[in-house]
Amino acid sequence: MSLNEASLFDVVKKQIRFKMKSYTGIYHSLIILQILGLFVASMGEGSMSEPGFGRSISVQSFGSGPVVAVTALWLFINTLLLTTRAYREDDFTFVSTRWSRQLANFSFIAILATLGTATAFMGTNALKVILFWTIGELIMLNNLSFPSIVESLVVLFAYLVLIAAVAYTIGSIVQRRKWLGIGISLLFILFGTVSIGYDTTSINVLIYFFMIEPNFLVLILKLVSAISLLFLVSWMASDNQEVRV
Amino acid sequence: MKFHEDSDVPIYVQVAEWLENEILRGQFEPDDKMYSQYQLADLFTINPATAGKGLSILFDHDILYKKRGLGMFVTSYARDVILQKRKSEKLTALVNEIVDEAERLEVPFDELIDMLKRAKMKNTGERQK
Amino acid sequence: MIECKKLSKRYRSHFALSNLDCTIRENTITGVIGRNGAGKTTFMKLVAGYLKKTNGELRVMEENPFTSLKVSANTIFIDDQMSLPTSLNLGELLDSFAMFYPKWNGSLANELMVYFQLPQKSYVQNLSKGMRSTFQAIIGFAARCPLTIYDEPTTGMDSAVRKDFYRALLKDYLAFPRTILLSSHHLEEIENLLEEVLIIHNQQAFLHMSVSELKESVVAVKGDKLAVDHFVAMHGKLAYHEMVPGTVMAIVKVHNHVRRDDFPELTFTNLTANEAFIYLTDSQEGGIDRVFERSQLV
Repeated sequence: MSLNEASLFDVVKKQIRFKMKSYTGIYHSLIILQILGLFVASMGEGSMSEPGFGRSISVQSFGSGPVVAVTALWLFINTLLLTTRAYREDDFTFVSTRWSRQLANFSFIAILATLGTATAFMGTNALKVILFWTIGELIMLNNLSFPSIVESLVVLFAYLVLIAAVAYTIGSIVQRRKWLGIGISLLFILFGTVSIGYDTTSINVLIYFFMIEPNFLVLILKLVSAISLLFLVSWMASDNQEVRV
Repeated sequence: MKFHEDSDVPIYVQVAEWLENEILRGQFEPDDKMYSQYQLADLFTINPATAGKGLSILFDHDILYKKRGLGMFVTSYARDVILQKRKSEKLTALVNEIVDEAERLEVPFDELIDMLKRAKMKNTGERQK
Repeated sequence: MIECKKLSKRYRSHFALSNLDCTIRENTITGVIGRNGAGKTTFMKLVAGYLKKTNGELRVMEENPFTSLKVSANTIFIDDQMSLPTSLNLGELLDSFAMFYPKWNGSLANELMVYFQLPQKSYVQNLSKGMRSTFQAIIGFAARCPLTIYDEPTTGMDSAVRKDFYRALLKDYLAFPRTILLSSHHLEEIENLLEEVLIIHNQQAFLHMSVSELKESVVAVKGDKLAVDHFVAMHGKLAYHEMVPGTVMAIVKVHNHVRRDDFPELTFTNLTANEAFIYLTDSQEGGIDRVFERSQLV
């Protein structure tokens, strides 16, 4: 019998299609979490009142924070799940090598991040519409020009991919050596306490490095390098991984 | 046809014997195309290589000849070869068995010959009827 | 198609395979036979590229199966632990396989689903063991992979379905010859299908030959003690039992062709392939009977 010719590109494409079809839980959880996020967001972030002589002003502010946070959480958890045994072994039931799986998973992450960005964006707009109807008087505090919207979407996308890459890398490492899972958790507990105001804790430094960056291009560069690094590390962890042991 | 799995005779030999019987029965005339190993495999639910071994036996005994690309065919003297083979193999084996059994039962040789004569007469008598 | 030299697989506590040598030719049906724990599943998972070898050489389609895309694209591994996504129903699963395997025979798959009464809308996790094995067997046939590996594919199948499975295996093989590895605990059921058997014993390749050669290599002899002892001395003793004083039965591994006429005082009986296999791989002389005999003495 003649052998099937297989190109890496072809196989990766098929794996991505397969994942999109079979990981139905991911889409369901996205919808549920986004609705939850919208709900939380609609409760507002803070309010101020200013009583004064003869008049009072009260301000309630709303932000898309919860929606974005929830999307990030969704992507983080689902990417972590992606590295677990059941999903991994499912891949190898069909046509797959470790390398094709790495490429397919990262491509899939990118697709999910796109999905997350799109739904978060739509969710934020939905929030604005809901608030407009329920409250009526709104002052928009963010920049609504087209370039800046695109910029913020790209940045959101990149952040999501970064978060997912972190989850994937952690997941890959843990799958390889289970006890590292405890080690990583310990690390987080020791260094991870993000104290508001204490700029010098290491996690804080890391977060500020990525978040407080005024220059768009530099930020993208930082994020792309970080993601590439994580790609490499997760590859090193899953390169020799056996399946069906 | 069922194969005797724990008989003395390997499956491929049983296949060869069955094919010989088919030729003797007249199912195949000289220069007829014999079943291919795949057809035999399908017929008996056996591996085609095993069926092929059976066909090889017949080929080695000049019961079949090969036509390149077309398969195996029955030779014109196949019947004779088979009968001769059967005579020398099977009949000899049967005769040996009879002699053994007679010894085991302590039947003297002369009595054995008498038994053979009687069997022959019965056979001839039946044919004459 | 498959070549191994001194193939070894080691885990922390033990060797699952050690120094296995074998060559498996293209387009043959080879039975992989062995006791539980002998190493046959490990061997097949190494060939499929799931496990990584510890030592030795392993070449499948002339490549390293652990990293080769070619091997993965041309191999399908069917066993009862097959990992199938729980979110897709049977029909969707078949479509997924069709997507990955260009030679996939969809009409055969659907016909077999109907024949074995497997509903397209069911989910794998809701099937009985036997139905699940049947479904997985269907995948194996329809995929038409040049290397098809079945590890105990008939687990849970009733005897009628098993017969159908073997018949279907043969028919598909006749239509589309491919390299098939088939492991089973029921050698007697599959021996006619096999071209060769690879017996794996004690983590090594023990025997690799045709079924008829296997059967010819072991024989049971019965007769007078002296005569049997004399015969046994010329070959290899596998089992020995004094039935009544003076009469002995022995199972013997013959080293060369035996002319039985030369031993008129002995009665020879052929064994089935399965019996031959059992005696050849039985490390305990006397078998299970001995255990009971010994325990009674105490």
